[in-house]
Amino acid sequence: MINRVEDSYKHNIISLVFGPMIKLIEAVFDLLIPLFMKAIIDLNRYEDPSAIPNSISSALAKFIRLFGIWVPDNQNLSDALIGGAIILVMSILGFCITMVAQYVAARTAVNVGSELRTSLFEKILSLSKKDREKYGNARLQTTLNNDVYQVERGVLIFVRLIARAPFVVLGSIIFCFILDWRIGLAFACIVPLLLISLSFILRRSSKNYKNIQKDLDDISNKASDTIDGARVVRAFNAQQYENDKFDTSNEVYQKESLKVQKNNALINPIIFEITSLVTVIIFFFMLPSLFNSDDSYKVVLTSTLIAAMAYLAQIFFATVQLSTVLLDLTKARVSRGRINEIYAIENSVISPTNPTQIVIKEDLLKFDNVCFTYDKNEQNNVLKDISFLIKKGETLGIIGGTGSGKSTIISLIERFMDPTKGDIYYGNANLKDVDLKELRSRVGLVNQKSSLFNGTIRHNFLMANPNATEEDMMAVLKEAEAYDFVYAQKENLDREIKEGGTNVSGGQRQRLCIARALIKKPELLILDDSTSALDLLTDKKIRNRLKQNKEMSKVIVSQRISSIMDSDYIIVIDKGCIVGKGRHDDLLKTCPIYEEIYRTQTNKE
Amino acid sequence: MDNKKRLKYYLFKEKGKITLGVLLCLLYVVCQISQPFLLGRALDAVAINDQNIYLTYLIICLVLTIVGAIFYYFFEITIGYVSQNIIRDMRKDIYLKMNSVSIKEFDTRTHGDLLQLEIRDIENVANGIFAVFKTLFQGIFTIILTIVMMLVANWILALGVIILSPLSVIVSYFVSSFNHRHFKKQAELQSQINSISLEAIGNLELLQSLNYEEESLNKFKEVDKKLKKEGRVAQFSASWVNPSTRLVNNTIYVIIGVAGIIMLAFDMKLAAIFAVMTIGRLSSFLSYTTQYTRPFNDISNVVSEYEVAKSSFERVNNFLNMDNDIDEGKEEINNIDSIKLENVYFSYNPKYPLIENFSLDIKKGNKVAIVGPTGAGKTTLINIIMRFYEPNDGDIKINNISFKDIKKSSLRKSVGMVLQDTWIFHGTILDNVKYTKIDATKEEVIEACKKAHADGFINALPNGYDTYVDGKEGLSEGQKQMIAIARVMLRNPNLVILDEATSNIDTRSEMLITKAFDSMMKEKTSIVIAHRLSTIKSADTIIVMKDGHIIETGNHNDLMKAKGFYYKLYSSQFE
Repeated sequence: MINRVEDSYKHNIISLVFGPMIKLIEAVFDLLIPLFMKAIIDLNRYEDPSAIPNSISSALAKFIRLFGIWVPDNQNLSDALIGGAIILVMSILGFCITMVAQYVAARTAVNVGSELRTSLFEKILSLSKKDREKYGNARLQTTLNNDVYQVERGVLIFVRLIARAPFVVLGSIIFCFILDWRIGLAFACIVPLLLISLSFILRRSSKNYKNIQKDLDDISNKASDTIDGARVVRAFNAQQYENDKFDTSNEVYQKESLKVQKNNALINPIIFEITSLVTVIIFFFMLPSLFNSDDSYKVVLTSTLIAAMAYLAQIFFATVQLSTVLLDLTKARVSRGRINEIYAIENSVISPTNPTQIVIKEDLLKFDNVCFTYDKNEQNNVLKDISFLIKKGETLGIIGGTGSGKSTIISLIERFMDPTKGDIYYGNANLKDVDLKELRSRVGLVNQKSSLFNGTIRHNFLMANPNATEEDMMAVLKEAEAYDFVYAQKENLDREIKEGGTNVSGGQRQRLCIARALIKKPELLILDDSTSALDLLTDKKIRNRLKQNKEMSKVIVSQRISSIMDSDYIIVIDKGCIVGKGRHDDLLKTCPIYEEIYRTQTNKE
Repeated sequence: MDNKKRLKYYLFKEKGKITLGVLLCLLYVVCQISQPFLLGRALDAVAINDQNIYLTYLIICLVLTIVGAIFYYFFEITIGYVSQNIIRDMRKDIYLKMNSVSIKEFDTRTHGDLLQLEIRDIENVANGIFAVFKTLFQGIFTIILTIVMMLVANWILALGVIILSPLSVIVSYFVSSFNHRHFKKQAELQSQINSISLEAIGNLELLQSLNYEEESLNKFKEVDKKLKKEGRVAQFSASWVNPSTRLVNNTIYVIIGVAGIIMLAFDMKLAAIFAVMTIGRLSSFLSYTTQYTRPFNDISNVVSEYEVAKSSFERVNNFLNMDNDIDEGKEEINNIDSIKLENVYFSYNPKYPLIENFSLDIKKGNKVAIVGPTGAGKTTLINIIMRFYEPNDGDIKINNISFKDIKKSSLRKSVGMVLQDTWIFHGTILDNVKYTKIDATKEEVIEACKKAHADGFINALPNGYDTYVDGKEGLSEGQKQMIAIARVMLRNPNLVILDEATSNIDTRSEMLITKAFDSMMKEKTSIVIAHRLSTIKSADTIIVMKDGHIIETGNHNDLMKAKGFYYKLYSSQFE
C-alpha cells in the first residue's frame, strides 16, 4: 500500500542508491581521457616515461608502455596507437555502463510514476463528495497527471545525474590541481560563480513561470468562454467587446513571456562568457612559466593546457546539468507535497468491515432526525431534522425550491456523505453498518446532471449491470421511452456517446440515464429532477410505466408538481427543513408553500 | 490561404527582427569559433618564444569573448521577440476568427478541439519557431565555421573530421527519431489515461453509485501498464542522447588526437603538402572536436519540434481558413415591428429534412409560445430567426424587409435572447449581468437582478455582486438561468427570445419572473419555448410544432377547445 510518495521511494530504494553509483564508474573513465591524451603528447617528446616531469602523466605513460610495442621501429607511432586504443576502450566501456544506469533510471522512474498514479487514482475513487470539497476536481486531475509526472521526472534526473554531475565537476577540478595548481584554482573559482548565476536566473524565471501560467489560464478561460458562448456573443453583438478584452489578456501574456525570455537569454551568454574568460585568464597566468622553460617542458605545459581545456568543457556541461537538476528536483519536491496532500485526505465514508446483513420486511428506508452541514462548526445546516419513512414498494415525492437541500437528501441515501446528526436506516440496518457496494447495488440513481459515459450506449448499460442481456436493454429502453430514438438509427445500442453525452439532446440523455438506472433492477430508484428536459407527455408516460413496477420503491425529486403529485407520500422542503408532509390532497390544505407551488404551476388564480 | 502563404505572412511581419537575429547569430558564432583557433596560435607562439604574438592573440581572444557574449544575448532577445510577436498575432487571429466564423462551421468543432488550437497548438508553433531560429541557424553556422577553421588549421585533419561527420549525423538522427516515436506513443497513452481519470473524477458520484470504482481502476491500470512499458522505452531512449554524444565525441577526439600526434612527428614532410602540424593547431583541433557533435544533436532535436509545430500550424491554418459569417445586408433597422416567415425550408443535413414549408406571422406586441416534443425543430427555428443558420429556402421578413438585406448586427441589436444552455463567463456576477449593457450602473444591474429574482441569492454569496464565477462551478443551473435572464432585463430589448430559459428555476420564482417579463414586454414582442405549460398559458398565440411542422395554432382557450395535441399535452399534467 502506498500512503505517501516516500513509500514508493522505499520500494525502489536499491535502484535509487545503486543507480547513481554506477554512473560514477563511467565518470571516472570520462575524467581519465584528457589525461591519457596528455600522456600521449608527452610521450611524443620524452622517450622514457619516468622522465616526464609530471607524476600523473608519467604514471599513465608507463601504463601505456605496459602494452609493449605495436609498431616495430616506431616508438612514437606505437605509443599514440596504444594510447588511442586505451581511450577508445574506456569510452566504449563507459558507454555500456552508462546504458545500464540509464536503464535503471528509466525503469525506476516509470515504476514510481506508475505506482503513484494507480494508487492515487484508487484513493481519488474512494473519496466522498465532502472529502473532495477542499481541493476540488480540477486539482485532483492536475495532481494525478502533472504532479505525478514531475515526481517521475525528478526520480529520473536523480538517478541519472545527482551523483554524476557533482562528481565530474569535482573530479575535473582535482585533476587540474594535480596537473597545475594555478589551473585548478581558477576552475575551483568558476564553478560556484557559474552555479550561483545560473540558479539565480533560473529561480527568477521559475517565479515568472507562475505568473505566465496564470496569464495563460486567463487566456484559456477567455477562449473557453467564447467557444461556449458563440451564439450569445453574436446575439448581443459583443464580438468587438470580446476581441478587445482578449487583446488585453493577450498583450499581458506576451509581456510576461518576454520577461522570462529576456531573463533566460542571459543564461547562455553568461556561461559562454565565464568559460571563455577563464581560459584566457589561465593563458595569462601561464605566460611566465611558458616562456621561462626549456623546450621539452614547454611541451608538457602546453599539453597540460590542452587537457585543461578538455576539463573545462566537462565542467561546463556538468554545471549546466547540475543547475537544471536542481530546478527539476525543486519542482519534484513541490509536486511530492501536493500528492501527499491528496493521500492525506481522510476518507469520511468508509465501508464497514463487519457489515450488517440487510433484512427488509416492511420498512425500506428511514430518516431519523437527520441533519447535515458542510462546515465544521455545524452552523449553516443544509438539512435540519429530516425524518421520513419509505415502505417497500412505495413512492416518495420530494418537492422544494432551488437550493432547498433536496439533492443533499439523495446524496445521503446513496451514502456519498454521512449525516452530521441523526441516523438513516436501510431495512433493519443503520446505513453506516451496510456494505457500501451492497447498498449501491440495491439503489438506482438518476442524477440531475444526467451524464453518460463515453463509449457506446451498450457500454453505459454494462457499466451499471455487467450481466445485462440485449433483451434487458431493450426492455429498459422501452420503459424509459428511449427505445424509439435509439432504434431509429441503425447503430442502435452501439451508437457512440461522446463528451459526456453532449452529442445527444438533453431529453434523450435523461431518458438514457433512467434506462441505465433501471437496468440495475434496483430495489429503490431515485430520480433527482431527471425529467426536466422532457415534455409533459413523455414524462407522464414514463411515470405510468414505473408505477406498474410495484416491487420497486421510488424517490422522485422534482420541481414539477405533476411529477410527484401521485406519490404515496410527499415531503416539501424549504431551506433545509421539512415544511409539509402527507399526500397531495392533504398538503393542498395543510401546506401553504405546497399550495402556492401548485397554484403557480396550474395558473389557477 | 495555404500553409506556406500563411507562414510567410506571419514571418514577413517580423522580417526586420529576423534579419537582425540571423546577423547577430552569425557574429556570435564567428566570435565563439575563432577562440580555439586563436588560442592554438598563441600556443604556437610559445614554441617560437614570441611573447608579443602570444599576448596579441590573447587580447584579441579576450575582446571577442566579451563582444561575442553581447551578440549572443541580443540574438536570444531578438528571437524571443520574433516568436512572442508571432504567437501574439496568431492567438489574436484565432480569437478574432472564433468571433467571426459562421456558427454553422463553428458547430462542427468541439470545445476541446478549439481550446487546444488556441492554447496548445500555438505554444507548439511558438516553440517550433523559437527552436528553429535558435538552433538551426546557430547549429549550421557553427558546423560550417568549424569546418572552415579546421581547414585553415590543417586540411588533412579537417578532411578527417569531415569524413567522421556522418557518424555524428547518423547517431543523433537515430537517437532522436527513435525518441520521437516513443514519446509520441507515450503521449497518446498519457492522453488516454487522462481521459479515463477526467471522466471518472467528473462523475465520481455516479461512478460510485454504479459500483464501478473497481472496474474503472482496472481500466486505468490496464492503460497504465501499457504506459509503463512504453514510458520505460521512451525514457530510456531519451537518455541515450548524452552518452552516445559523449561516445561519438570521444571517438572523434581520439582519432583526431592520435592522428595529430602522429602528424607532429612527421612535421617537416607534411609542410611540403601545406599541412603544417603544430602543437597549437592540435590544441585547436581537440577543442573543436569536443564540441563538434553538439550542433548535430541540437539540430536533430529540432526536427521533432519542427514536426510538431508543423502539424499544429496546419491545424491553426485550417481553422483560420473556415468560412466567415457573411453579412451582406445593408439595411439598418431600429426596432422590430413584425417578423414574417414565408415558406421556410431548413435542414442541418440534406438527408434529414427538418423544417419544411414553414410560415409564421408574428406581430408587434405579441407573445408567441412554441411548444412541442423534443426534436420538433423549436430551437432550430430560433437559430434561423437569429440568423445563426441561413434557411435553405424561403424568406424571413422583418418589418417587411427581406432578411438578406438587413445587417445582422442591426437585427440582433433589438433582440434579447436566453438560451437553453446558459452561458456564464469567467468574471464577477456584475460583469456577467452587465454584458448586455457595458455602461450600466450598478443600480441598474441590481434593478435587473431583482426583476430576474436573482438579487436574493446574489446577496447571499460571499462577495455579493463582486463574486467571481465561472460556468462550471459555484452556481446551480437555476441560478445561472436567473443571471442570463437578468442580462436581458438589463438590456430591455424590443424582441425577447426565451428558449427553455427557466427550466431549472423553481416554479414560484418562475412565475414572478414571467410576470416581470410580461410587464417589461408590454407593447413588445416575445417568443417563448417552454415545456412548462404554465409559462405558456398567457401567450397570445401558441404554436404547436411536431417534426418541423406547425400542427396547431391559437391561444390557450382555442387549443383546449380543439382537443388536439395541445389538449393532450396539457391535460396529461394533472390526470
